[in-house]
Amino acid sequence: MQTQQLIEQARSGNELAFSRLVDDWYPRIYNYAYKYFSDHDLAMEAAQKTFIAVHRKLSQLQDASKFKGWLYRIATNYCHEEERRNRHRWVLPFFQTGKEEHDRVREVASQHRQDNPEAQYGHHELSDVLQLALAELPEEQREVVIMKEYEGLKFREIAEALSISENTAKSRLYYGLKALRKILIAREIPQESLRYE
Amino acid sequence: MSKLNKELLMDYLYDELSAEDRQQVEALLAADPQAQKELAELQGVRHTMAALPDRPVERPLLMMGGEAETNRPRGLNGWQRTWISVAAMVLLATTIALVGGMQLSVGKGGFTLAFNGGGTTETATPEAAEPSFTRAEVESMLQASLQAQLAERDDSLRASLANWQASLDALKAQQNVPSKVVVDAPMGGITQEQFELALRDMQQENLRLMVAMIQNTNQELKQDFEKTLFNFAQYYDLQRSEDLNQVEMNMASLKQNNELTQQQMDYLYNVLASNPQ
Repeated sequence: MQTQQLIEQARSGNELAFSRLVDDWYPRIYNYAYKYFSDHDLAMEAAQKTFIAVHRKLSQLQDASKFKGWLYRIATNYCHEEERRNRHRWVLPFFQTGKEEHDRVREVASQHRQDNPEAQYGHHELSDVLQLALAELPEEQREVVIMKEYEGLKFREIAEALSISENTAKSRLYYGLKALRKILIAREIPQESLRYE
Repeated sequence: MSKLNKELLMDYLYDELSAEDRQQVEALLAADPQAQKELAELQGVRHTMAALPDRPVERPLLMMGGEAETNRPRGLNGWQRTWISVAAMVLLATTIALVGGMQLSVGKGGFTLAFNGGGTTETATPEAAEPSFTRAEVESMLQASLQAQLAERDDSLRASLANWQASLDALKAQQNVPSKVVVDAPMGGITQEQFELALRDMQQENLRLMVAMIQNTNQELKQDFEKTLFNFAQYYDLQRSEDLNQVEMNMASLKQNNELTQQQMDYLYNVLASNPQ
């Protein structure tokens, strides 16, 4: 069943339809939040709050075709909220990982220089580096990059979700990709893997 | 479309252009090697970032639609919450004042705050609450319980001993039938009957020793328990004494603060009285 049909049914009080809507969209919102925070617990928290808010506010959604932008708008708001709350939280890590992680990546990169990034780092290691690179982006670039690159939103939907113009969304994405390139080069991801054939 | 800007580049990169616009962008790209290089770099970043996969996740059970959601206060911002808190505090203070019969009077020496309708400053001596059980009663109850348990175990042991004794006597009576068979020279000329009697005596002696040992152990247990009880009582007394000391110190500190406040109020009053303007 299409999302729009599910939305219509959920708005008329069909809890089963709403449950299916959550089934369809929960993994997307969780992954959006996970890439935003690089943290499972925070991502779960934001995703759960998002769907509780969706359940409460679904009747306020005027146009079902704008659901995607509306959903990501709620999710982004909760991500911002969690980010602010987390910023004031003092966490003392049991292990200090930042520098060691970086050193390990450098070491692996220098030992196995190959063209294929997957082969160079191994799947998990490359994923870790990419996740860390995303985390280094400023918040406003990070959310646009994730929405476009991983969630596949149109520029119109991103603009709706973030209450900005489409050109601003494109501009943030442009600078976000540029910044990512610099971060990846600084982390010694070889130029070959950044060159598109 | 005369110039290739970053917005157009993004539209082209993510394929959000109409066919006509796309052709125009491609024409602009063909004439601009710098833009081609930039596009290739951005495509390279996209290619690399595509290696970051989705994380599998199980949808959790979401608690929604119930009373918890509908009853939750909504739309309260920080100021509203603050005002509600202040109002609640005022209401609470008013209730306490009404229930406690608070009286506020202003005199020459300052103001007097009194509860229970009285203006006196006498401190009522709190009545010593009668405890449900005194310490001696608790001790005697525990002692009685312990004695009862020990007596029960002693009785049980004595009963077992009597049973064993009876069975031994019965066995002895059976064996009193003179044995016709005499071992020729068992153990240096001792008859089998003598040997069995000696064995039974040893068994009885062992049994008595065992009973004595258990009784001693019981006695030690009792002594340990009494010692623990005594230590606990001492600790309890010490703790109570420390608490009382702490309360006394706090009361003294409070009294001192009150006196200081009183002095300050007197001073201010005098300043105001001497300077009416």
